[in-house]
Amino acid sequence: MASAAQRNIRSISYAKYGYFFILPFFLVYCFFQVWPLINTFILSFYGNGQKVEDFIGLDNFRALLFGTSTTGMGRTAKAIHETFIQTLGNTFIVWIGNFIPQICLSLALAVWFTDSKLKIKGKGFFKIVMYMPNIITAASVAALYLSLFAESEYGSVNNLLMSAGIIDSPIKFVTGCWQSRGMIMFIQCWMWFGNTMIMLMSGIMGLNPSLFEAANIDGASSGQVFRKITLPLLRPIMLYTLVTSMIGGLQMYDIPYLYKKGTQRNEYTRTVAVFIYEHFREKMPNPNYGFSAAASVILFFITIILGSFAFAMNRDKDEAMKKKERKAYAKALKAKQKGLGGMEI
Amino acid sequence: MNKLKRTLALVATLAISATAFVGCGDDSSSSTTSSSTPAESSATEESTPAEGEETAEIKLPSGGDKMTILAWNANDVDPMLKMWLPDAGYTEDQINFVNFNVGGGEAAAQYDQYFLGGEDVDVFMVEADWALKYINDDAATAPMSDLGFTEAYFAGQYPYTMEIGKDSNGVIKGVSWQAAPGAWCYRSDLADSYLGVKSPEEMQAKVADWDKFQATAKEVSEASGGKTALTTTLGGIWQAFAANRSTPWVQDGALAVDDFCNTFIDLAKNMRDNGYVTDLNQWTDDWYAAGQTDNTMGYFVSTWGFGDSILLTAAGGDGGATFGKWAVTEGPTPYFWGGTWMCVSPKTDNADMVANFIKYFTVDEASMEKYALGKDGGEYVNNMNVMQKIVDEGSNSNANLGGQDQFAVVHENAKAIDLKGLITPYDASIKTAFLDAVNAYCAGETADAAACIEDFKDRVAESVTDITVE
Repeated sequence: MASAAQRNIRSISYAKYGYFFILPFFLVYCFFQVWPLINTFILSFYGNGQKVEDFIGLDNFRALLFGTSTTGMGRTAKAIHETFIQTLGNTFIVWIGNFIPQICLSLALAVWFTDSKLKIKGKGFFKIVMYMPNIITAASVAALYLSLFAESEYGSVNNLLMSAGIIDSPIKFVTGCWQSRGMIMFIQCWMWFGNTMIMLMSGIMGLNPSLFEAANIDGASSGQVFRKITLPLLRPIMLYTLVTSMIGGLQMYDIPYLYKKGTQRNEYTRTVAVFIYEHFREKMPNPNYGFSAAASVILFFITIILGSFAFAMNRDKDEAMKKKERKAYAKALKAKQKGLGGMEI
Repeated sequence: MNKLKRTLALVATLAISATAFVGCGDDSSSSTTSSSTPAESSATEESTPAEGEETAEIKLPSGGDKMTILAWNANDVDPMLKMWLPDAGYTEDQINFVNFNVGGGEAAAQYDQYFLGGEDVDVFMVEADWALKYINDDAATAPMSDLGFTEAYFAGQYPYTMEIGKDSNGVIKGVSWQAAPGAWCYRSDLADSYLGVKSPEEMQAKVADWDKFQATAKEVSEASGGKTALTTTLGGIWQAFAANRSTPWVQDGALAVDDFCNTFIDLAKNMRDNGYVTDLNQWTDDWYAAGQTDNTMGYFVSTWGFGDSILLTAAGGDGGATFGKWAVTEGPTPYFWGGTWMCVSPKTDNADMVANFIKYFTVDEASMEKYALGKDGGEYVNNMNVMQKIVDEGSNSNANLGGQDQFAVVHENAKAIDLKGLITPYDASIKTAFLDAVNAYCAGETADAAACIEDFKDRVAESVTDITVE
């Protein structure tokens, strides 16, 4: 039984000091993050170039999404619509093309590395080597691949293939449509599979080992263990990987921006983020803040929609069904009580 | 005790938050100090060896704390200050050099940010491509006449550099200390074996205009069995060709598309389809590497491009595979490529120093000659008399060009450049869009010349929203 004094002490709260200490972060965060974020939304309703101070309502969105305009953008609206849709397509193609091989590769490696039966030697070494590409900055990676896959006959890979007699003329690794997309998919996959693998490994190692033991005793094959135990239990981690990769993929910027021939931009690998940057910074003499902001806002909503979709898809179906049943039962009970009214009395 | 802790926590919190805002707010301290010490500033004025008759005409205020110079790299400003400061009797303490350390194309965005901050600015450097953005803006640049310079002072400058520095009313607001006329460099050994050409003069006769250029390209291609292209990139050709335009790109706020465009499209298509030009792009590793093979025999090069930037690297460096096998000639048309201009902010508070600086590098021939010869690697200064003198003396010889003096060649070109006042603030974007469209057409992405023009218009409509594109 606590004395009055003890109870009194317990009621003293030190929490407010905690708030004081995190206050600087929030001040800075509001000033440098929240306000620019809100400002992006505001800017998306304003004009482009010199007309940056004119309010034009939803015209930027109209131009980007449908190529029409009510404030006389004319050809600009049409051109920007085509480019925007193309960049959106590029973004999805490059993301999907890197995510599917990446998750397959990471999953296979994660399962092998965590399998107690396989006893792979030098796991630590492989983990480090596979994670390594993620540590190198994107600029160095782009420079490395640009010099390896330079598309004239002087490029290392082209030179090798040509002298080996495999190809007659150099492959256009940097400007070709599917060649350049393939290269970026490969680079992204190569940079990120180590990261995904480590995440999936930690997920697998967090699973209850008694389930695997029980499966072994029951004589399940490793394929069965994978399909019936590992995969279903790994679902939350997979969902996490999917959502983070999707957010990262939709905002993919560095490699597509840097992987280009000289100063000429490749239209097949221009992602939405690159499009946003170009209109924000690289339009002379006046930047197109309106288009840039509107494209950011559209990207934001696409991310929200796809994210919610992924969550809805991956909801635990049994749990959802049970919840539904419980609800139906409660409803029926209520109806019963109402229907029978005073009869029971 | 508790109170002390709380106070300490509060102070620490405020201190941490304050650091986050250190970069914000404008630096008004310099202006307050300058206004509060009039005695000191007038003393500086007297000790300045500035010429009496000019300081008298300066309409802008003097006596500020420091002269602030904005630029995107230190390649020019450092050697300039090194020479000017001792000669003018100023010290480094009086200079505030803000180096943004970015590419020239990104500098405008940095400047806009800086100007918004309201900090001190006296002189800033601009590139031809976006100079008009500031020169046409009276809030950003002051007329040179406010510093006591009339047009007569700049009589020795190459005419085209003056054109770029004028705003839409013809007022001089930007001046350049360097000229960047271009020329065409070629492999003299290949020219000898394929064309039988022995001297730059003979070569010039074979590339004197664009028709001859294409005919010679055909000759080279046939003689080499299709192996050697006359020049390396369409970008280089376009750099020179774009200088031929006889009407502005933008008229009455609308994009002007005319025969000029079609002429270039035909030329580009012809050269590319027949292998008269390689499909390489400028500023790539391949572009440099091609210079060490027999796949190309020419590069378009400007005054600054004879060193590491273009030609020396293309030759494989000092002692490289093709080092010393090059020669230079004027090429099909006079053109310029690059260069830097100086503008003065109307908010300057050091007009006397600024005037001295501008005089030293753009008016005074003796100091300009000193700079031309004194700067590491030499500078092609923006004065016809000075350059004529240097060329006449014949002291310059370039080992990569087999001892030829490139200044003698570009000097002729520079005098012939005629811009006819055609520059618009949108030129950089429009020219890039056109080259991109032509490259796409040559790569087979658009079907014909008409589609290429449509593609070009779409590109311009997308990037330049301030003009109409029908």
